Amino acid sequence: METVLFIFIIIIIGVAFIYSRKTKLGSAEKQKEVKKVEKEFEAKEDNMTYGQVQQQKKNLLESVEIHLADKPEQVEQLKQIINDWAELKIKSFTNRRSWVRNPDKD
Amino acid sequence: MADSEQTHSGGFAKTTDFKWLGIGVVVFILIAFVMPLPESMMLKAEEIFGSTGADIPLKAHHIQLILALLATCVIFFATEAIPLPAVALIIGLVQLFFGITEPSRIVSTYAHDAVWFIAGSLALGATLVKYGLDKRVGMLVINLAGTKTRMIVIGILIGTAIPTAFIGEHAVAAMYVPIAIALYTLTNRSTPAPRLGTLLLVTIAVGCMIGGPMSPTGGARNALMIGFLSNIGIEVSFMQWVTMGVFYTIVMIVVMAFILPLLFKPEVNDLSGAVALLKQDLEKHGPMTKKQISVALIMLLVVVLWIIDKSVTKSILGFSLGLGGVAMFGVVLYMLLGFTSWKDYEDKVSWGVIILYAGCISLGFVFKSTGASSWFADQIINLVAPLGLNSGVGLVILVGVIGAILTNLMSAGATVAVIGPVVLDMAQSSGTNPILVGVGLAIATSMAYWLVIGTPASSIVYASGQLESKDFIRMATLGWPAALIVLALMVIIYWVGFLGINPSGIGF
Repeated sequence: METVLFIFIIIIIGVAFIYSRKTKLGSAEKQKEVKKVEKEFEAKEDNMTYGQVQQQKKNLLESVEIHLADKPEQVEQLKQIINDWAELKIKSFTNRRSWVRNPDKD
Repeated sequence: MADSEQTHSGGFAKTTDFKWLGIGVVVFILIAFVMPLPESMMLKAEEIFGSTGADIPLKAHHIQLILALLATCVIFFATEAIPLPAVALIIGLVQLFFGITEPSRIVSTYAHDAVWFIAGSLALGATLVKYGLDKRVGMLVINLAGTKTRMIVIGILIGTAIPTAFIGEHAVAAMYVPIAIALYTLTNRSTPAPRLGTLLLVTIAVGCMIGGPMSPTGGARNALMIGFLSNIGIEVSFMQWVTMGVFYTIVMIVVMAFILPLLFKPEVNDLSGAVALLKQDLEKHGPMTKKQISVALIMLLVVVLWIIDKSVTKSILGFSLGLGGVAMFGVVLYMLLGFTSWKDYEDKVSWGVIILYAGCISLGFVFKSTGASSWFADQIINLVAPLGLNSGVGLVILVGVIGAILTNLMSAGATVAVIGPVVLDMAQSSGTNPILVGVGLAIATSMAYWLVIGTPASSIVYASGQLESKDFIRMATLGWPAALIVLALMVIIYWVGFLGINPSGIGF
C-alpha cells in the first residue's frame, strides 16, 4: 500500500513537471509569435526618420500656402493637421527604437 | 536581485487552475491521511521529542503532514496552479489548522533577515534600473570589448554576469537584447549572419545565469540558503559567499567564451562597422549624470557595508547589521535623499516575490522543527549510502546534480526552498560541512540551461524572435555538463583545497 501510494505520488509530480513545462513553453512560443507579428507590422509601416518628416512637413506647408492663399481659414486648419501628422510620425519613429538608439528611453 | 524569476512567470498573474488545485489537494490528503504512518516517522519523532514528554504519535503525524505539504507545494510551484504568493500563505495556514505551530508563532516563522535582504535587494536593483545604471554597464562593455566577435562574446558574458549579481536578471537581459539585435542587424545588412545573432543572444542568457552565484544578491535562492544556514546556526557573510561563488562565475565565463562560439560559429569575426555605428548611438546618451553618479555611489556604500558587516561594523557597533539590515539602509537612504519615492518601490518591486520567499522560509522552519527534514534526509542517505555519496565531497556533488536537474523543472528559488532544508539535514547527519552542501546547491540551481523558460533572461532573449528552442538544447548539451564539472572541481580544488573549508567541519 505504502509503495503503491509512493509511486503514484511520484508519477503525479512527474506529470505536473511535464505539464508545467508544456504550458510554459506554449506561452513562451505565443510571446515570440506576438513579437514577430509586431515586427512584421512595423516593417510594413511607412517609416520616416526625423529629417524626412521635417522635409515632408516643410513641403506640405509650402504647398498649402501657395495653393490656398485665398482661403486663410482652411490654410490654418491644414497647417494644424500637417503639424499633428508630423508629430505623430516622429513619435512613432522614436517609439520603435530601443534604448540603444533612443537616449530618451535612458 | 536575480531571482525575481517569478515576476516573469505566470505564477503571479494567473488565477486558479482548478484541475491542478484538485490534484494538489488529493496528493495532500493521500500522504497526510490515507498513507499509513511509517514506523520510521514514529522512531524519528521519538528520537527528537522523546525526552520532552510530547505526544509521539501526534508529532510523527506532524512529520507526515509536512511531507504532504511539501509534495503539494512542489505540484503548485511546478504547475503554478494557484498564485504563488498564495502557496506561501497556505504554508502558514496548514501549520495553523493542523496545530503544527502555535498560532502566536506562525507569523514569526515568516520573518527572517533573509526576507528583509530579498526585499531590500529588489528595491536597490529597481533604483539602479530606474536611473539607467544597468545601461551604463552595457555601454561600457561596447566601449571596452573591441570589435572582434569573440571579444564581444567575452564582453557580454562579463557585462551580464556582473550586473546580475546585483540586479534582477530580467532587467539585465532586457537591457542587452537591443545591443545584441543592433550588432546583428547592422552586420546583417552587409553579410547575412543569422548565427551571429543566435550567438550574441544565447550569450546574454548564459551570462545572466552564471552571474547569480557570485554574490548573495545574485538571486533570492542565495538569500534563502543563507536563511536556512542561519537557522542551523551557520552565518555566511557577504564576503564569504562572494569568495566561494566568484570562482564559479569566472571559470564559467572562460568556459562559455570557448564553448559558445564553437557551438554557434559566427559568420563574421570582426564587427568593426556595427560596433562603430553602435558607439555613435551610445555616445548620444552623454556622460553619466550627477544623479546616476550619486545612485551608484550609494550602491557602492551598501556593497562596502555588506563586505565589512561582520568585521569593521561588528567591532564598532558590537553587532553586525545583517545582510537585510544593510540592504534596507540603502533603500531608505535612496528615499531620504529623494532618489526614489515609495510609489517607485510599489511599482517596480515584486512584493509577491517577497511573500513567496517569506513562505519558503516558513516552510524551511517547520520542516526543521517537526523533524520532517531529518526524516527525509535519513531516507535519502540510506538510498545513496551504497554508492558512497552519503557524506563529504560526494554528497556535495550529488546535491549539486539534484539541484541542477530540479532547477530545469522548477524555478531556482523553489528548488532551494523545497530541498534546501533536507540537504542541510543530510549534511548535518552525515557530518558533512553544511556550508559546502548549501552553497553548492544554491549555485547548482543556476544551471537552468535546457529550456527557453529556464530563467526569465532565457525567456526574454527567446522572445526576441532570433532563437529556436533547439538553440538552448544545443547550448545545454555542452554547457550543462561543463557547469557541473566546474562545480565539482570548485568544491574539491577551490573550496576544500584552496580556501581550506573543512568538508567535515561546520561553517567557513
